[in-house]
Amino acid sequence: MGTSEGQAVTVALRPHGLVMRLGRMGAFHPTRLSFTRSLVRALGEPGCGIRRTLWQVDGRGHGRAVYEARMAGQPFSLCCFAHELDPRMRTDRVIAEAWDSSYVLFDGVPGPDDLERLSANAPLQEAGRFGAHDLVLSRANKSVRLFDHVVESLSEGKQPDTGMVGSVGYLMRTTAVYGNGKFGLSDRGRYAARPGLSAPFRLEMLAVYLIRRFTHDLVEHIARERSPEGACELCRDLRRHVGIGNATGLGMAPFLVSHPELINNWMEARETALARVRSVRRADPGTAEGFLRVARRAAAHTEEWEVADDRQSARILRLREELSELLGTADEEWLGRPFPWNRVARWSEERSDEMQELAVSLVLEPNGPLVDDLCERMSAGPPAGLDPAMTLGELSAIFAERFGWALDVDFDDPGEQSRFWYVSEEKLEPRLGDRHREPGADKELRLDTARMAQSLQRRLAAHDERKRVAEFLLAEPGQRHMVERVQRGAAHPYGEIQDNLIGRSSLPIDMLRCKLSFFGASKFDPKSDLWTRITLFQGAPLADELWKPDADDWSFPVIGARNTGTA
Amino acid sequence: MIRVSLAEVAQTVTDGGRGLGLPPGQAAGLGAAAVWLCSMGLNGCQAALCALWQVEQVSRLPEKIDTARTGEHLVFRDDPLAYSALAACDMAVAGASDGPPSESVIDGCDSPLLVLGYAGVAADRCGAPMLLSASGRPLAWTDGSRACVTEGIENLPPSTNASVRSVRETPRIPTGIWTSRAWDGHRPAQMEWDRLKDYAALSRVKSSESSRLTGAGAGSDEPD
Repeated sequence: MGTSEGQAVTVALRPHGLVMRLGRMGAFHPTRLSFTRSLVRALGEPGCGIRRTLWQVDGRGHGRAVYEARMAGQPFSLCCFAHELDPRMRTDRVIAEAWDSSYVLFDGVPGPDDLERLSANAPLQEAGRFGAHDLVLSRANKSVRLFDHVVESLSEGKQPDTGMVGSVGYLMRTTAVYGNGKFGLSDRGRYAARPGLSAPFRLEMLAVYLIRRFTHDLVEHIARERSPEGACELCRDLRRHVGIGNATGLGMAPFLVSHPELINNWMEARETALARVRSVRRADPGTAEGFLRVARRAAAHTEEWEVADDRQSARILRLREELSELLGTADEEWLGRPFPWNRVARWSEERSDEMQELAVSLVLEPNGPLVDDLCERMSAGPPAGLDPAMTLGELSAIFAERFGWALDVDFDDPGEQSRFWYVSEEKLEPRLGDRHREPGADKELRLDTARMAQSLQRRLAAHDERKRVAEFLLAEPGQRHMVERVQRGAAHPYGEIQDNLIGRSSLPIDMLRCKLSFFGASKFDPKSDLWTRITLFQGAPLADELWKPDADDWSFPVIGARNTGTA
Repeated sequence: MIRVSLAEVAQTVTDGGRGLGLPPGQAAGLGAAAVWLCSMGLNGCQAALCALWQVEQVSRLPEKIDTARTGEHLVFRDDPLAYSALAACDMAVAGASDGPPSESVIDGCDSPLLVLGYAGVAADRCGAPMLLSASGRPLAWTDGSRACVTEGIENLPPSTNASVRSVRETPRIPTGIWTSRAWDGHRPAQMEWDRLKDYAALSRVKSSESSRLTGAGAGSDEPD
């Protein structure tokens, strides 16, 4: 039993020891708290709007364009640059050096000098330099198969093949979206306190949403240039279904470990939302109907979710069966009984992790008024920092509460520390090495939280528990990082991934999926244990639909289904 | 002069510390101190370079930090500032929490500016305003979000006896200039920045064909 601010809660939050396991995190699905969803809601508020303010693109689709988005009374401009790219250079890896297109989200309205500066630097990406008014840097490559097909179809006055649009889902995929000071970009601290911008990754998501619009305009423009008389526009249903792809690798994984407060706030918001909804005694008929509609849509969406990866394919097959079972069980009578959402959650506990976490998304979906305020709690300020006056007794108590899991790892087993994380000198790409076969372990990134926790526990045992942390660190300066981490854990129960991240069996892809689910990514398509492709903003309302009453109803998009109801 | 973001300062200085073998807590502490100074319009990159250079000079990093008590003063000696200044601020804050303010003295300090950086971070995170002095003369006061700093603090001679203590009142700093945090980045001298990047490069692992094959996105040339 527990309580939560603003809403009586009778169901407790799920324990951190259950939620913060890699296997479960790797089964997360996007929810209505995800950052793409909260951005779209923000863009639908009065006074917001998106317009194209510059279009200088030739018949081959090369040139520049600017889109201006007004949000919370402030203008932001996505400056787009489309280039010729030798197909042999088209790769999703960080170590790529050229792309089909590059982008900068600019703070305000760029002047001619700004555009010239950005046109010289954006195509260079990591090798370029950016200024305090440049907020986000990105690049994207074409999905050659779909891009060419859509252009060709439109130029012939036909709509593209629905099946192909559904199977790919995007015209371009971003391979990096940089913010927060990278390569000279604006520090997040410069703008985070402005109205509407405190949400995590708010501007990064805005940039991606605007890139999607650019790709829609680009295919129509090339088709029109190719056949001025015969070309047609992409129909609204397909346009809405075309999102933005993304290829994501290990770079995301260290972020989850190095931002425990932020991750805690994401997780805690999600778990609080779940607890609030599970505590609802009676669902009104409209909410129950909304749940069933989204569950049916999720089932259809899952039918469209096809991947080559064997492990994920097997999980999707099982998920389809379980969803079918849910739809056969959860009728109006079943949902009319007391605590319907708690019933759904309890029902899912006997099913796969995929189903359990999908159930979280499903029960939150029709309960927006109950949970959407939690989006405001998902950002984090600077870390609290070390408390040097704390006694070792107090520190040990926090350790026992938050890091007991780390003591279960047997580091005498060489397999439990067979890997190490490092940054390659090659474009600073994060990589995962084999400790026993590759050089570089002396420069490893400290993602070995469990191993560091065991080391701290051994050292703490050698000191008087009345001693203060400051004195302990005089004798044990090497423990500072872990001491601070334990202290930060006191107020952040969901801040630690409770698994050994350097063990043989650890799967980085689980970390990626967790983070991407908070972004709002769907159609996870793992290509190995180390990277995945996903789609963002698939099914999201178009710019001229953002203000419509049902613009927020775009979860689990299905091609051809007017799931936003905005057509 | 190049303009760099504060995030770049944090990453580069922290990586420089890691590259030279500093434990992760000390490396991150140095990065935070440098960023705090830069956000106050002070030369955090120069101060961080001083600390990294010290680390580079020692043959072996300390396993513990030696101190001596002299009256109310806790005196730190010999260790690189990346250890001693951080620990001095810890002790000053810890001492203030359960008794009369105690003073940590860094004997022969090569960068009082860097000590101010650590004190600024400590004041900001612990809510304990800090006073930095040299040979008994107040040099700077900060509550973390703003500071009053004696002109010329960036050019004090090395081997100053710098002391730091937590204070409850706002002391008067003669010829002090007030400054507060800003997020517009920092403009280090090109040579300073290049040197910091050289240190940071030490934290990275040389690329090989096999590491390329196991890197993120290996095999990602698959068309779609």
